[in-house]
Amino acid sequence: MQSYDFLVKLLVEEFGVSPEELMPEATPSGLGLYSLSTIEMVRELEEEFGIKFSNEQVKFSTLGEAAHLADELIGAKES
Amino acid sequence: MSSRRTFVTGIGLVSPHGDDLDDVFERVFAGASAVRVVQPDPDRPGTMLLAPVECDSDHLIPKLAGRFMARASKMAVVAAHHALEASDLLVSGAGPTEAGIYMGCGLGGSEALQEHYARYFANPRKRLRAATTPMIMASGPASHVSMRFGISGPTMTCSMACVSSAAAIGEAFRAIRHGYGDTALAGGAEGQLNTGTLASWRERGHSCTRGRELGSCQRGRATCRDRGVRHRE
Repeated sequence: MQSYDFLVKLLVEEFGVSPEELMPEATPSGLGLYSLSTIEMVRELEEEFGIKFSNEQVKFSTLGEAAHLADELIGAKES
Repeated sequence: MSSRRTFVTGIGLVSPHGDDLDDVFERVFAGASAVRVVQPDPDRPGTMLLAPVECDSDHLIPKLAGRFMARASKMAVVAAHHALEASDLLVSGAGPTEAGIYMGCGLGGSEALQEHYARYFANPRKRLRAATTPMIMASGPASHVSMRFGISGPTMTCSMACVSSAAAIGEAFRAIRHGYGDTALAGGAEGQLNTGTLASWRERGHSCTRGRELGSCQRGRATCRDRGVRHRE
């Protein structure tokens, strides 16, 4: 959940995405993020929590899925 | 090869005098100067004579897109918007698909280069933004104009220092004249008002003739007497 909250804050404050558009089911392309902006979103997430998405994990479909993957990586790192 | 007549159908600009074409021409022909004394680096003493551009692009460029654009690219998009509008070639926010883009640009995103590299080198734990490379390229203005207006004809960037834009306009003229295309968006964009670039120009003694009277330029004095004024941006 901490990842999702971070993503929402990041996307609103840094990427200029409207808060109304942000929901777990939202897709990157639906939010106006293309490949480079999605990569930057993931990099910010990785930098914030000290995690690393694999090439496969970067292919998430929704914002909720990205946050879920990040939470799993954070959990694995802390355990 | 037969040659065709070529016409300028519209002009758009973003300049130190603003981006309203009539206002800019009026001020220029009235001999008004947009040059003023600027302290480029708030952390270092010294001023320069510059003609800074205040470019408000928020009404045309959403924040998300702007995050990936250098200042020069934003100015190019605003100027292109005005030019397309003046030519009646802007339809539902899009330009003519088959048109060519001929854009001059010397450095491109030098402020992005400075900002991103400074952050990266200052903190070994920070990663460089993935967007850094495309943002700093001289081809950025042409690329963003192409993407923003859906113009997908021949897209070219001329990067030859101070003659970049003149060369680009010449190439567009030649392309139309000799039948390689019917329409072209031609011009140039640059945005070098960042502390790193200006520090270098200052050391070369450019950007300041009346610096002596204004006490704004130390090392430029000799050069200024010899070369005359050269204003940046």
